[in-house]
Amino acid sequence: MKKYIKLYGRFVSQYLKFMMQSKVNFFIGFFGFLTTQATGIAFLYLVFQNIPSLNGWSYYEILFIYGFAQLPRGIDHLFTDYIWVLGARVVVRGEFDRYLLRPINPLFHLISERFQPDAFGELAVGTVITSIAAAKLGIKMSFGKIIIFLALILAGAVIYTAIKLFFATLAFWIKNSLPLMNLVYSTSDFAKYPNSIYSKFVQGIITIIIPFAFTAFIPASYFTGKTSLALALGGTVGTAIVSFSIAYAFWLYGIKSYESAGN
Amino acid sequence: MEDSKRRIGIYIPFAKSEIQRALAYRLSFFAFILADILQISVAIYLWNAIFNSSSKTVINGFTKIQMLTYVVISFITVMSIGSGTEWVVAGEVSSGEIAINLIRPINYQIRLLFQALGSLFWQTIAISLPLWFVQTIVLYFSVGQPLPSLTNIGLYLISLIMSFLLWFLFNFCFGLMAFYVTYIWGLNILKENLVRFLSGAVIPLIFLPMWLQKFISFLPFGSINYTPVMLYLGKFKGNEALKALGVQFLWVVLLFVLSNVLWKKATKRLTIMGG
Repeated sequence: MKKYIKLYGRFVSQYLKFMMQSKVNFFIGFFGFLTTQATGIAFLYLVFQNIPSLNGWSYYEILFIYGFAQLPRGIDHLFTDYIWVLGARVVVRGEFDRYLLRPINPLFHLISERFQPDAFGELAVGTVITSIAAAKLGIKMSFGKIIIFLALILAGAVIYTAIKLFFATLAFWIKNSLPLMNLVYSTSDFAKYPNSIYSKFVQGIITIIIPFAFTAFIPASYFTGKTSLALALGGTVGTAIVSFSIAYAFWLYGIKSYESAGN
Repeated sequence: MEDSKRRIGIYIPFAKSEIQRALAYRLSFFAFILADILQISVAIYLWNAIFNSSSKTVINGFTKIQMLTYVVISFITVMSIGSGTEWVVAGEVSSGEIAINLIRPINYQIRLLFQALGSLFWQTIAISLPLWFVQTIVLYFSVGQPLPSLTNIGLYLISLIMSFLLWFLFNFCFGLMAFYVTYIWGLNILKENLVRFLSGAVIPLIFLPMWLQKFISFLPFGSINYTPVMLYLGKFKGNEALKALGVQFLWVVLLFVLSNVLWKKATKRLTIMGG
């Protein structure tokens, strides 16, 4: 474990050096992902000029969920962005050989290929929006609640990683799983808003099959007092453990089926 | 006549090859489209909840049905006119391939235009028309929404052609940015977000505060998406419709001039780099 932390530190410091070389690119990525979420917030703001509440949720409650949703997403984006590349081209180009040859965990090796500072755009929006909304809603953050908050965000990030990993692993058979990954990742948009606006069918999909509801709506509504602690914490952490176990087992199975390029 | 026919004929294969490319990768193409459709369904659920939560049946001049139509038609418009020209140009700039285009006996911009026409043709047939049929039929049978008038469809189609040209020229200029910026992928995300918002693809521009609407009216973005969709809905009447089309036309001309200026500048830069 110590070895891995040290190794990751090395990887990140290399990345930061690279980043410093191109500050312009950092700001492009930062504002790119910041505006993705900012337009969503602008939409909510403009809509709430015309309605007092949405399905019984106030403006700041919705804003809190929306902001919260960015944090697990951003953390996952920051650390495991290279999983996208696995789905897109690592298998096709036969580049996966490299990860099997070194004496470190292949998954660790793969994700340490990239540290993605673009994610700071999402994390900045998420932090600012959640803080403003929490203040307006009068949510008191005791020490215990801060621990719960961090645990929920971490668990949410694990769910994101698990879902990405599972669908990227399909590339071991279908070679390019990027379009499918993109499709599945898009369903995370549903989780940014209260579940009650969707049909039962959609609710079922985002809670059970592709459990993005546990990365945003369910844990966030604990803080606004609309979900019990048991469901929020138990459900989110439980889902994180189960989904990551499934994804990791599938990944190991996928590695076994990997055929390198050429003969 | 014969001569000009032959000259256009040279470019037809570029349009054809674009369609063939799309057909070759159709599975991944449809997976990407389906992902976009999911995002649209989020918007539809949201608007549905918004209208159900409102005490008014008309918000900023839109009924619920009109708003749902707006969302779908806006999506169809954006889908039809996107051609990936920015990627072609940026890719050729960063690989250096763009230099070869200067010695080819064809006009680079016209070649790109024909590629874009290929995309327009394929996307219209594969996405826009089916989606349009589905939405029109669903609304007709579920809430008795009358079919759109021929005038509105006609105005929409005229406007769509200008949107297509405008967006093509805009992306051509954007692709040339690759001369100055290496992280085009990130810059493109920024561009897409700003254009989506400023062209009314996120929310109709009439929802924006007055000062922002005034400001946006000096920019070309409304002409890319908002104008054709409002014409389809019949929200611009008489002179207003003609004026909107005139503004669109003006932007096409302006961007055509701008793209030529940028292209001239870029080719000069190429010579310098070549030594």
